[in-house]
Amino acid sequence: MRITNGIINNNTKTNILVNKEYSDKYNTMVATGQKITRPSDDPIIAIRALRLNNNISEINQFYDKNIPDAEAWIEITETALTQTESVLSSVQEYLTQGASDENTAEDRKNILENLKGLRDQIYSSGNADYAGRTVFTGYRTGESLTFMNDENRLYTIVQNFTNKDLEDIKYVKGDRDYDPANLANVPASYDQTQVSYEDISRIRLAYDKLTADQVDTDGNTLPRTLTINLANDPSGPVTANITVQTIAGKTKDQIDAIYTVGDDDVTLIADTGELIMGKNVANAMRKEGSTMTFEYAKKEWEKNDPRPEHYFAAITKDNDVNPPRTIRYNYTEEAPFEPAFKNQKIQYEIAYNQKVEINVNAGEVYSPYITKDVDELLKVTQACQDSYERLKKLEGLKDDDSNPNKTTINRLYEAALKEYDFYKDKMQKTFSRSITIFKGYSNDLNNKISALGSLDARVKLTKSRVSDQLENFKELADSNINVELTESAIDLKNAEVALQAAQQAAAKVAKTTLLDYL
Amino acid sequence: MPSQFFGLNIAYTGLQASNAWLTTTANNIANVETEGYSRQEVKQEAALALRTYTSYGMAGAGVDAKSIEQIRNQFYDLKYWNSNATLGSFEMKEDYVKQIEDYFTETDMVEGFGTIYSKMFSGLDEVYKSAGSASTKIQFLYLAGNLGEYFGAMSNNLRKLQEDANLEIKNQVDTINTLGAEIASMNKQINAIEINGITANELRDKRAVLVDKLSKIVDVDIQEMPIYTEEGGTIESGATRYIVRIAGGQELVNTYDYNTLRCVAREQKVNQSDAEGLYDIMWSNDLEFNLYGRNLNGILKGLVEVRDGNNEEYFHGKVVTNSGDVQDIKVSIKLDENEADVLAGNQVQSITIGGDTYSVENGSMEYDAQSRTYSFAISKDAYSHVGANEVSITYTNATGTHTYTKQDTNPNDNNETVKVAVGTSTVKVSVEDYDYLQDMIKSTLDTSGVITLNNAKFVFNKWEYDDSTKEYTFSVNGDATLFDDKDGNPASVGSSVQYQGIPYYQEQMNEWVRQFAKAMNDIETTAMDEKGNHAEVLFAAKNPTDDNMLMFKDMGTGVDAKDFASDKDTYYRLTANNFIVNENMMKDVSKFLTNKDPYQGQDQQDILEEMMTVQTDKNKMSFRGCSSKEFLECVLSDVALNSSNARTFSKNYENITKSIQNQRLSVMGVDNDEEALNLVKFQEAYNLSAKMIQVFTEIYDRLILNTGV
Repeated sequence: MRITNGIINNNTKTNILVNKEYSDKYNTMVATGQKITRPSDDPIIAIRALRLNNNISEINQFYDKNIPDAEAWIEITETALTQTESVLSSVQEYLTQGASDENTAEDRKNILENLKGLRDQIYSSGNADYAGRTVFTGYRTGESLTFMNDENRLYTIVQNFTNKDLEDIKYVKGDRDYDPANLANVPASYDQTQVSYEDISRIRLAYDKLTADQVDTDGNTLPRTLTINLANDPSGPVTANITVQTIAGKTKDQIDAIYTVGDDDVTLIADTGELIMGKNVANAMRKEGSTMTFEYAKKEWEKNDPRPEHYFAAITKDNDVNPPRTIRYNYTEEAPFEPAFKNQKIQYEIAYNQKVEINVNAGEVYSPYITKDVDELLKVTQACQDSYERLKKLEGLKDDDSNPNKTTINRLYEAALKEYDFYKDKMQKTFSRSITIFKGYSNDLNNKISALGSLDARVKLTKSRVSDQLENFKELADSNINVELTESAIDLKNAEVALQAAQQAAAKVAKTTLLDYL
Repeated sequence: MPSQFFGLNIAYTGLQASNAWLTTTANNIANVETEGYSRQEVKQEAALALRTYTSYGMAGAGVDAKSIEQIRNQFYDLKYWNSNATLGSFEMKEDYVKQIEDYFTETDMVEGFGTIYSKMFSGLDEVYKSAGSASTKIQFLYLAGNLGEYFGAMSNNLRKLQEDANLEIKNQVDTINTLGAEIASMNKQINAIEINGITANELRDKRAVLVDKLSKIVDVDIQEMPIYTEEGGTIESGATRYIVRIAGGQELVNTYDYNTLRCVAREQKVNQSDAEGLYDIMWSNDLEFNLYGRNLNGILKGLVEVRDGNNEEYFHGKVVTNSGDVQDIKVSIKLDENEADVLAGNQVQSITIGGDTYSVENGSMEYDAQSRTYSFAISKDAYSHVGANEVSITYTNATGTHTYTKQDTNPNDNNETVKVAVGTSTVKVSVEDYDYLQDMIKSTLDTSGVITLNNAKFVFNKWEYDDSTKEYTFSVNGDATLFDDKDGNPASVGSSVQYQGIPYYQEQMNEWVRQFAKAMNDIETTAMDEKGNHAEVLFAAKNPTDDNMLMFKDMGTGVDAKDFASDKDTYYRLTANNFIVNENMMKDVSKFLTNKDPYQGQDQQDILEEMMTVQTDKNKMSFRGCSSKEFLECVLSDVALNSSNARTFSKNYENITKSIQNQRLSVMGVDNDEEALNLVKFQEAYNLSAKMIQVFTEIYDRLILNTGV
């Protein structure tokens, strides 16, 4: 091939340009610290960088946001539960005191007052919130656990029971309401033979002060039959008719009659929220594995009452909108008329495919029965106290020989003595049973607190794992795209040397011609 | 014995030849840096010897300088032009794809898809953690809005780039026209010289430079053949025919004649997301210049592929036999120059053609003041009268009912004063062989366009698709029934372009946006508010023509609904360019619902949880077999690979072209040393010849003045 000056010029130009390109490439590498300046320089590195950055931003979301949020939530829950726990242990102290035989009337009054005070505190820590969102109310973080004010709204509540909910209690029958100073309205025949200590079986509903008519939000009367499903019983469920009664404003006589239930019958006492079961019905319910579902209506709500939607399936009607809308709480989506209460679990994703349930539902720690338990104690203590005071008065009158009604008073005194003995017994029994119940509440709470502790530990563990992951990915991303500086510095030097050599050679070739030698 | 003076003559020829060499060398040296100059040589031979009838035979008569010729190898020219065309094509692609790459690339400074997308889902995660809070929802909606803006900006950028490529096509076409004209004029000059038997070296070099330039823009094919003195003769006249064909054999220059190209802006788009008014190229004689031929090369190819590259996915199918159906007949009447306009302001009732009367369809009367032409639409029943020359129009005014009759007295001229023709018709095209045409999410057809049926072009303004038969129905202007009677008739919109150009990326973005919007909307619309109403869609489309929001209300059972039509409110109408967050939600954040059952509590995460899975769950959304978040990986790897390919190939062809150029230079290039040597050599020869003359002078001196005197 004939090599002309033009060819030599072209080639040297090309060579110098190639070397310049290399110099530029390595120079950019050293200056930016990155292997590529645009994706097409190396598509594989570029795409890998994208994926790694994606991973990093995802993990950042876990690390910077989700995990701290979960931790804060857990902490708030723990604090609230610890507070409640201390209230419950105070209650237990008073219960232990109250269960003692040695209490004077004064002591009892004191205990009563203290219990009243503690009762109102129990649910207040259940209204704890994290950044304006209540923590014990499941998905309903915009709603408080309890009613914040007295409210009038009709709810029908569907509550499920098992054989463990059946309580066998004592009932003092025959106590008459009279003033010992004025014996005019005391039945002439009333004497100690009419005072008896009865066994009754009952199931307590979560709420008292129910409506007397027991109709639902559409005005339909709620079912008046009770169905008890027996476990493994081929003879089928046991059914019983329900009579709805109220005791407000009734005489003790009438109340005694209400509490006396036929063997196959059930009575719902609306104001106390009790289902009194006849002997046969109770026996069916008592069997291991028996269950029943009961639907009832309540309209008057007091401040601090727990809202039913946090515990049960419930239906209410919103009359503020037009047309009024029926609201079904905790009914299944698929079959909208099937009540299906379940705990609502809020999950946070704190790592890839790792979700933690961060919330504790009210039902798990705040039994809706807590205030009712205290109320019952108050009631039974009060009854005992009343009975005691009457006995003391009668005792005073009895020794007064001048009293014309001495015989009557003696008769009444005997009856009152018997009443007081029964009431005292009932009170002590109630107290000692309450001790067990409240111990149970405390245990549930403590279990939850320790479960939260271990959840917290798990979150912390995940946090350090995620932090490791983050570092790993950052390192990977770094080694993917960043240059090894020493290496590229050497490359740059080499390119520079090559460029200089090419330039020198070009200068020599271009300068000399044949004419120089002719 | 030759003449005593013969020697002087011989010396003189030597002087002449050396002189020719010296001037040629001077010319070569002078042109050493001239572009396209090929070095010249003197062709010389020994002059015819004299018969001297002596014992030593013939006497040499000196030297004869025949001609000055250029040294050039046409084979290398050919190779150079071919390689130069490919180089042009790749250089262009490299340039444009680099810009596309810049748009898609994310840097630390510029937020790209990945950042925006993951920010949006971080926002969703915040909502997930506290669905009750309006502020997290607002934040999420804004972040989602950013995604819309990103796609809008990307789509606009690509559209602008498409416009740039389009404009550059026009510039290149203009250059082709100029070069064609120059080459033709050069042919004329060369022939004028060469018919005298002389080689027009410099002009030929100049012409070759022009072809060099042309070869980079478009592939060239050169044919040069001698012209004989008479038809079928064997004596060459010295002149030649010089034919330049471009773009796979289309004739640009034929000796002294040349064709020109012109750019015609499209009235209808080929792809839904194309820029307005892209150019088609026509020859000046209105024949089509085929831009999409397999043999096209050069810068033009690069530009066309970037502008129209659809990765071979374009609308094409088979016309269903006899599926064409005439919809209405159009009657138009052109008033004569001095004719009174009796129809003005009057109510036209009916039109009678050949004894049949048809009522005029409501509101179909139109008047074009410039050509003084009325047109009416009548029932398709009048099909048998298509081509009629005479119509009667019945109209009413205050004075009663009148009839106006118009006849085309001279039906064969182009001035159609009466015209009865098919107004619109429908035609069905089966696409059962092409899956991508059966998925409306991937559709790139615009609502209106130009469909080619068996090489005839029709403008359509609406189309429908029936998934049960895999058939598109086009409503076209004119009579399509004439072209649907042959089985297997091809139908197409646009052409196959085997490159991932701008339309390809637009389609990818549209496809992703549609799928994503649909996946998210399908979830969001299962949410319910406290009044029992379902949520609106989360993502909507902004109708570009009237600024209304499209919320895909005609979706029915999905995008494959049986009665899909281009004008319905479906995801087909959503493109990267009009992708927005539902404005109603932006105005009132409470419309963004997050529960299926609001009474289960505000923090119930069912909807949000499902939305989060759209990121990675391929059952919820699958884009090219990847999850939704991998969009950029898919598309950017296309861009990066294309860009890296274009760069590699353009570098390769640059090297190849350079090496061919070197080979050319090896033959035609001027070499300094060679010329220096020539200079010395011929100066020496000249000196010798001059010395010869001096010797002869002395001889004559001796002979004439001193011999025998």
